[in-house]
Amino acid sequence: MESTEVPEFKIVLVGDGATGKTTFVKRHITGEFEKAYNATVGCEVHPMPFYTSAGEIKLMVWDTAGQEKLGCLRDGYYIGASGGIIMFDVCARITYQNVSKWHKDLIRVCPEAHLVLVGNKVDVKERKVKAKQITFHRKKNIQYYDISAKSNYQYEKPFVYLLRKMTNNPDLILQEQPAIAPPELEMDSEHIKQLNAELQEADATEFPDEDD
Amino acid sequence: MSSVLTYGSGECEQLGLENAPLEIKKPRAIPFFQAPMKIKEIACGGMHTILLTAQGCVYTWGCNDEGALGRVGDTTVPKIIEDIEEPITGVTCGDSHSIAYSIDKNLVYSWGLYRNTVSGPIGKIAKTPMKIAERNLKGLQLTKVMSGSHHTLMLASGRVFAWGDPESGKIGRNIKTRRRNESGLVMEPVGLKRVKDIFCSRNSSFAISEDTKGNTNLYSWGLNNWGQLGLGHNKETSKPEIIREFKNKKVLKVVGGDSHTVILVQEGAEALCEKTTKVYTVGLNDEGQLGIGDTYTEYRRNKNETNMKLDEEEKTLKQENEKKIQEIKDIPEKDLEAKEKQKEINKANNELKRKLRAIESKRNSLENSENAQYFTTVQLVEGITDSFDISAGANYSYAIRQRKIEEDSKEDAKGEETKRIDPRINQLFAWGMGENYVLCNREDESSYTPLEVKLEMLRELNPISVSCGTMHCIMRSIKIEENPEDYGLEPISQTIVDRFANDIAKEIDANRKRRRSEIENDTKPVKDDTQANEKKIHTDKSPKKLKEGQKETKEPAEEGSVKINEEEKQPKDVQHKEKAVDDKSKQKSTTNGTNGTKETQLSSKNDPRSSEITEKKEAEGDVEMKVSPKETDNLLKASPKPVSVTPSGKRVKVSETPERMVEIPKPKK
Repeated sequence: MESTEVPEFKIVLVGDGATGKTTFVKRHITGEFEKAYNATVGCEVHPMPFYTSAGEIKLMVWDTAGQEKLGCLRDGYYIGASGGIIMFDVCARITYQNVSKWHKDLIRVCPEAHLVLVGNKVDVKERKVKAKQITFHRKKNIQYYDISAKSNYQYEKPFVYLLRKMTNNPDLILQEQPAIAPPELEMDSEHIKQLNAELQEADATEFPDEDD
Repeated sequence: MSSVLTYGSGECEQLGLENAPLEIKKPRAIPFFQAPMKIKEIACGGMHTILLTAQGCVYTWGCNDEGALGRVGDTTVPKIIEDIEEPITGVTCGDSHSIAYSIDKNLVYSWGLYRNTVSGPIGKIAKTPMKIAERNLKGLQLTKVMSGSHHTLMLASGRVFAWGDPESGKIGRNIKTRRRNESGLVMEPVGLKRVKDIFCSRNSSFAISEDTKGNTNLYSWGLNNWGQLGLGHNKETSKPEIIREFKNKKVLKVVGGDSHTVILVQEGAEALCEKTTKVYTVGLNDEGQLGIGDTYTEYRRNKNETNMKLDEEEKTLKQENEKKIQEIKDIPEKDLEAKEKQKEINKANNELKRKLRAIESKRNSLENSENAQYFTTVQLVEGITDSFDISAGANYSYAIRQRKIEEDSKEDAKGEETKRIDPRINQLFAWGMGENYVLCNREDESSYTPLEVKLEMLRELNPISVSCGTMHCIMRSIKIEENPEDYGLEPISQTIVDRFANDIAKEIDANRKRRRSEIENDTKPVKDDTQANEKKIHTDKSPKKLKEGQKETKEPAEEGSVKINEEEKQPKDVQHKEKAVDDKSKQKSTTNGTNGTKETQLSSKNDPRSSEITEKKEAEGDVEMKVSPKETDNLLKASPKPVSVTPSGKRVKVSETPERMVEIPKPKK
């Protein structure tokens, strides 16, 4: 019996093919177990419960079923989304080229949605995109996170960010770690330190505003 | 001096400048190419650029994550590829691969990687150029190679071969085997015969093919989710289909982005005097990719309204149903048996389901509403007729044409602050998604109609072409007083004329006959023949009075008439001269990748330089010129003020007349 209704938010996951979107959503065990196929839009919806300081919140995470091969998705995919995760692969920068188009498509349908840009596969030591080279989120004033789906590195970060924004509660924290599949690989602390240093450096460098 | 200008995003070293700036709004010259280096061709992939010099050397710069540069070393600035047999005659590239080929040597190099749009990289990265297609090219003559984002077409002896990512059928076949992606990399012929030219958009393929009756058709195949194939539907196809609108039309060039296609077509070719080119677009228009205005915002507004109505309708239906069910439940047992009750309830529920389905289908049809969000049949782009070149990036496009003077004068009348601009400087138009400043107007807003690029620096530099990446652009320009050919540049008009040389020759013939009969019918002797003719030629060179369009329409008439006289008076001499011009253009046509040509007398028509050659000869008095009075009258009407003629009868060069300068509005900051 439902004593209290668990608030639900729709989160859409977008990005070019082969950036690791499906790997990313599949790591949430409950979400993967309870996922349902939405035939109208042709995608999978993963219900992910998060136990936060503000109680249980369910994120309905929408993952495409390869429609990104078509260049962009139909509006039906975005309708009603409160949050969006735009993903690219830090090892193949070519997946970064359409970030602005994904962003446009998303905010056109959901102008109020909270967005986060994530660079996946940072576990690879020869990452090609240096943090300071990524300027899109700075131009559009959206949040950026380095993540590694395979090693669970910062897995919950984008979700926590979105939860805070969507509930308008900047102090929200997770009471329980989400149920995530065990990491396929470990990232050494040295590597993580380096990633953080690069991010800090990027934040510190001023964004060049071209003057004619 | 020719320049290679660069602008847009440099987040992945696309700009070719030292220190790799992250973003440039205003085009900047790449210092490396400032030296008097002759450049033949530039192609942009998603995030890298490949440049071919007239000597046949290949330079690359930009993102090299997947080996698209074909070389090691600094990726931020242009560097030559050494592992390649020079001279190369053509280059093309996709997102992560590049191609260099030589028509003379009948060989193709490829490097980098093809990606499947869903599953990612196919096979291993080739970090340096590899010879490919040797077996397939046996006994065939290579003509052209063209790449989309992740697929490639090769034209050899009228046959097309394709390979790359098999997704959406863009390689002309559907592969259903287990090793589907790998099989896609195998070069295989596409079922088309007598192919004259090939083109690629980012995810689709196009070919011009001739049927047995000699009619040309434009075929398209590949990704079509937004109708970008122009076929009137949005189902993808791996089998080439004819675009109806261009049956027997002279399609000059096809380019396209992720979800849109731009087609440059020559029209009014019946009589050469009416010749013009038009730009058509088809596909997704959510960010103005089609250049036909904002059809999408209005559509979205309507859609939202209708959706809200449907939501309400759905809600009411559900409520009514609940009410009805409750009513049934409330009926006392004695009046209605439980079994019957359940039946009634099921009936009501089924009725609701049926109604909800109807609503759902209404929603879906709204979702796929054509001619708002996207167009599956080609649309004419207004305001850019007579363009001679087009190009497209992922979500935006460019067209380029010779300046039309009168349009500028109109703007003057608005009383805006004006700047002098040389009418010989080509006009550049951009439209589509403006993210990363790729529209060259220093803004990142989308433009739904063609927007003229107005930059201070373009007052002196004459843009010749624009190559489009996804987030960056490379513009080629020369100094206005310079001749494109001196820099190894080949105006597209040249290729066009070469390709259709046969048709044009036929037209000339028809024209000639017509004019001859006109002259014969004309019994009145014309006294001022020669002078009138000279005047006429001068009017062509007087940009102040003549619109570009008019100029174009007059020239063929002039040549046609001149030729009649040439033939009558000194047939041998003229033929010889024509041949000289012909040979020249023939050479070019071979290097340019178009099919062989036989007759190119009229190549001069589109090529300012060669027309000058002919005209010079005329002026030198080699040929006596006559013109029908009718024609003279027309020409004099078009140009009320005759241009002064030097005593010797030679024409005054346009570049020496300072009054040419025309006022146009200063570009807004």
